[in-house]
Amino acid sequence: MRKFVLSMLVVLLLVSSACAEVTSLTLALRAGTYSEVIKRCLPAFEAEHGVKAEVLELAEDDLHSKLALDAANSEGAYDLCMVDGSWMAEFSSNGVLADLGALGVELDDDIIPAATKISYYGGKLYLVPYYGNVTVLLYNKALVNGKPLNSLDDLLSVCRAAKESGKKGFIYRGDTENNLVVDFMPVLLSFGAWVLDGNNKPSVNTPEFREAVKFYLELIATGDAEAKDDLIATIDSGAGTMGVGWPGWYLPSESSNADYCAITGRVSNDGTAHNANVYGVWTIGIPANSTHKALAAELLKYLINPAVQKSTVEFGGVPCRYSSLTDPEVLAKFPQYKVVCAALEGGVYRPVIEEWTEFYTILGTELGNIFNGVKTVDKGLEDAQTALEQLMN
Amino acid sequence: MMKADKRFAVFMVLPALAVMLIMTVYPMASTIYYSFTDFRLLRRNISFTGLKNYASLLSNEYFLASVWNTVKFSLLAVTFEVVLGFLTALYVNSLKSLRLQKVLRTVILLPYLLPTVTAALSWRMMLSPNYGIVNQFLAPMGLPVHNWFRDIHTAFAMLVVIDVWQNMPFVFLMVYAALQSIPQEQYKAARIDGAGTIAQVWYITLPNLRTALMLCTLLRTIDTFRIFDKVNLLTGGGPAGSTTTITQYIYNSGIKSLKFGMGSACAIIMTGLVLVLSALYVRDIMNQRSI
Amino acid sequence: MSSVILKNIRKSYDNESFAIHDFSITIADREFIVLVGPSGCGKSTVLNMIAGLEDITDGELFIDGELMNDVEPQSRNIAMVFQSYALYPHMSVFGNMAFALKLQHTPKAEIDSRVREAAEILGLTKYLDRKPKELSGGQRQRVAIGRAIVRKPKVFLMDEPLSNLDAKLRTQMRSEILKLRRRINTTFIYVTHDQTEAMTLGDRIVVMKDGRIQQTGTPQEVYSRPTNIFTAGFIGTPQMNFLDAELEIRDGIYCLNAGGVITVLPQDKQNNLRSVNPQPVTAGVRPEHITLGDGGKFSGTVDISEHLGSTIHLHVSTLGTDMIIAVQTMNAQKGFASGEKISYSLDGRFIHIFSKETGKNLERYDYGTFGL
Repeated sequence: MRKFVLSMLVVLLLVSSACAEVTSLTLALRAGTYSEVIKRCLPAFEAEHGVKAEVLELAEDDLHSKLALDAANSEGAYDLCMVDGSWMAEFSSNGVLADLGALGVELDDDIIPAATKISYYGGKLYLVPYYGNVTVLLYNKALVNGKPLNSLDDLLSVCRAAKESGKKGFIYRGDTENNLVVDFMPVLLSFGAWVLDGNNKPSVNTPEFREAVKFYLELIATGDAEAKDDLIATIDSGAGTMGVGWPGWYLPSESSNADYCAITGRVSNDGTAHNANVYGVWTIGIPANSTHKALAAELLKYLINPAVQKSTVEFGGVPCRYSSLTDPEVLAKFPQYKVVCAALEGGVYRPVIEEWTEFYTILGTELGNIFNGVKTVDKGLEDAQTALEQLMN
Repeated sequence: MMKADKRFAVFMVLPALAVMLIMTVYPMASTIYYSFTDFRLLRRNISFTGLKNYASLLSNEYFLASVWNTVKFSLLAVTFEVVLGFLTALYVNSLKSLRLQKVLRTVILLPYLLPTVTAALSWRMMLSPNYGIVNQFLAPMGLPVHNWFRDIHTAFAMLVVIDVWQNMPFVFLMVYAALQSIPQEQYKAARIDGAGTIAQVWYITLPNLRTALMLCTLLRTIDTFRIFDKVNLLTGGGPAGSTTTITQYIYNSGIKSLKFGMGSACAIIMTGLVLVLSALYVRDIMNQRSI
Repeated sequence: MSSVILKNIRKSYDNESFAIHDFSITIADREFIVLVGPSGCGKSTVLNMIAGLEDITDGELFIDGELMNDVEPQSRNIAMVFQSYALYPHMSVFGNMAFALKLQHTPKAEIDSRVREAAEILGLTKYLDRKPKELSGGQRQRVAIGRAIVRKPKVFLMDEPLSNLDAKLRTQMRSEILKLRRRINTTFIYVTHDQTEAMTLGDRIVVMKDGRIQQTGTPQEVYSRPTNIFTAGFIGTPQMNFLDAELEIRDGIYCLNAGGVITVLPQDKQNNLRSVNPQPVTAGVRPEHITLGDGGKFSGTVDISEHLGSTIHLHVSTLGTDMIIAVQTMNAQKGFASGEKISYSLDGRFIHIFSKETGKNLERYDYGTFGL
């Protein structure tokens, strides 16, 4: 008996010391294609550095609150994290993220410049754009039938025609305030309007804003609100015509029913073009309280290496790099990356303000009221403006 | 001897007490404390703001709407759950074939055994305007394909339907068990006294089930008041806030934006409401016991 | 105030086997009849069929001359008292007693007076506002009876009403039921498994076993002329003793040969046994009919002696079996010790002779004199 206990102890000691030798990095990532492509790159890094990488795959809201909660601890649970651009202000002003420059990470010219707009805060680098998510227009090929989609007027006429033929026109996501706001943003931008003015004050009750909402009401009257999966299925099956989507949602091919294109930012065919594609770029940062910052920086550098990023393309990765997006080999296989590249170059980040979560909740609530006929355009926007001004004070 | 016994007793209770303190009292106390502050996660400094959170909540039309939605949801769902569960139990209990009773019992219980998330997602699939089985039934009958969760007229009702579907079996089970324990001779006596089927239900079944029904109502009220996963997964509180319950409001305005002070105040108000509502039932159940 | 007639009543739950076989009896107006038998004999089933709580599979039931097979329980004008009292727990004593009248929409004043009258009879007046939970077993039973009598039924059905009471209370309630009967004077059908209740309460007793009537008769008849071994053993305490014996005819006279001892049977039995062939029989003798005495032809050994006060029960090994002998204490000169040898005699007048083959009593009373 004593022998048995002793031998068990020895085994335990061996196992625990073996465990202690391998450093383990914990990655908090946005679940979906975003984390999938990173997971595919990990084995090579693990082998090279003799580390183990644990991946936590989280939904967007979950990721946000987990990172925020963990930031309060002196020793953080995560070593590398995906960050949505809209959290940047909140995170950087509260010291959640580590200065990447100090860890030897820097951005190169290969990365699409517009995407790096939110990377710096106070002159320091905190976030590296990784996954080039940007809104595109997802449409059903048969229903569009080669008609031009060069302006919002074009979209409206195609959608109306579809509705007349008994199909749904424009589909938007109506399930959360965030989705309501984001899906509306390309139209808003096309009208030359924005949610904030030049002084970062709310500007949702302007004439341009109202115009944009009124146009959007006409557009969504041709279809309906659906959840993401339904939206994709509706457009793919040909029950609906088009909607605002993301490259990660759909893999178009010669034979696929749907395809996507960049949103031109023009209201009418002779109007001015605005940057109208909204970024949903997933960036990567390192939590300031990570216990393995140096190693995490190594991993980050490895992940954003142009060759490594290019290798993710075939699994659905969308690098924010010219070297990947303009590569002839890539384009031969995935011609839609040309569209993505264009959209990324003309992309707009959601406002980098600390109150963004509350901001979109308020705006989304009022937009929901307007879209569902609970409030008039004027009343809804007025209420939104009042509440937002109160918030930003 | 007595003293040692007492010390031993205290010693034995300590772990449970400690767990209680850590798991219940501490979070409760901090929630109450935070509700009087402007605590935001990520911000280091917390300052005491008194009743400001409560005042701004009670003057916020969307919060008040969420309270009303919750109360409405709770009342509707509990009413249907209790009535349907009671009627189903009555029906199954009245079946002559014990084997059929057994089969039905299991089948009826199934929805209750599903995790809420699974149930919600199955319903989302069933009611999907694309591949949903419900719409596939409606379409051939010439009925319009409906977007159940995105229509301001149907979304709330769908949540009630799904909650009733999932939780009616709980009431069924409780009532069914209680029905089995009613002495048959009471029914015999009532039949001889001239009570028909309805009079038997009214004078014998219902009074005998009183405690069980009150308990079901209490538990279901508390539970429906806390509804979150179904709302969050199926409607996200929309369309146009028509399905925003208190918990969804807390999630949107407290948790997502990390305003824990505000969220705590919300939670305290909700707890207060549940307490008031359930106090009525609890008192009744206690009275029943003492007879 | 009505007769109850059961004609060839049968009950089956599965259409294959019968719980009640061919049950027929005519119960006279104001008669007190007791159905008695071991548990599972079908006595409660018969009562439930009379009440209308169970369907009659076959046969006819008449109450007061009317066919009642398909009449609802409440329209049969009967009342029933259950073993478990079956009081409505959420109603007061008053509510319980008033329930039937309330359902019939009887005027309030009348309900009140009838309930109070019944409560008076049963001594429940001061408990009218209590709930059943607050009453003792005996009081609950009274409420159950009260609930039945306020309805002024034609037939009063009682299903083991005293079985849930303790022995002392049972004796007391038994005499109260007798008093009640005198007072309300209606037809009673009473079910019990307790032969003492049957003997003391019934005008007539119906002994049942396995869904069949074994014997119907007054307590006296059933006691002294049991038609078969079952009835003989079921009625009377302590139980009748049974021994193997031979019925013989010696010189044209019926004799009983038990363990070699010949007992000549008396004249009335000679008549009753007329034309019965000599055969092996089971002889039955009640413990109280055995006489102890030195002159006895039988002998045995005392195993146990139970002193019950007025009587002593001796368990005796004799004739290859165990026998109980009841001795009146006043006749016993001394106590009995275990292992003590005794001798006793049997009185031919009190010996019952049953066929070994069928268990039936071999005597035919129809031509005979009345036994004791």
